[in-house]
Amino acid sequence: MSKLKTKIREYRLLHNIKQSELAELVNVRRETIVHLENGKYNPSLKLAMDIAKVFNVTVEELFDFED
Amino acid sequence: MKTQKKLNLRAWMFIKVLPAIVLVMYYWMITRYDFQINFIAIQNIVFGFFGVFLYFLIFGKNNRDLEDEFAKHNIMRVNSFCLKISYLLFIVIALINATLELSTVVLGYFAVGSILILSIIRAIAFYILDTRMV
Repeated sequence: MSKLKTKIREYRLLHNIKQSELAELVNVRRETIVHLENGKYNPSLKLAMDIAKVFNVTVEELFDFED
Repeated sequence: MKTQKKLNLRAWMFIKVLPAIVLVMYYWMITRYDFQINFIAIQNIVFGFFGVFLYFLIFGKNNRDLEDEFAKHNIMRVNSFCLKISYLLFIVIALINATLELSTVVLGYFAVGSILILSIIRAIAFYILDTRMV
């Protein structure tokens, strides 16, 4: 099964945003961002799009599947 | 940036065990044999607490964290796990009663005890899922 790989951490550090700040911006808990960054949770399409919007990138740029 | 709350969702899940504890206390009080008149007042106070807890759990404003999709996902997993546990628990209780023919008071203890056990399991399972993401 392919695993979801995210670049949230990279983009977050690039934009100098804390996990808690990103969580507040997309209206989720900090724990959700932690699990997303560690690839332990697959987000809904809405959350993925919300995060992509914060970083001004496309969802494809932010998330990728690895085999 | 506007911030509300902040009661940790894990703590909130453990607070939800309180009505089950009060229910067990209330049941113990109403099934006592050594009745005294002042017990009624204590009993009613405990029942009042139970009512207030239930009201806030059912109609009260939910913890804002419950809107979080990861939390919702975990709560659904925990609820489905607890449903399976309750199946087992009630089958065991039914079999025990069928073989031992227990009194209705004891069966009541089994019922309120089951509610307490399930609510504790729910809180613990949520905590484990939320921290370790099993």
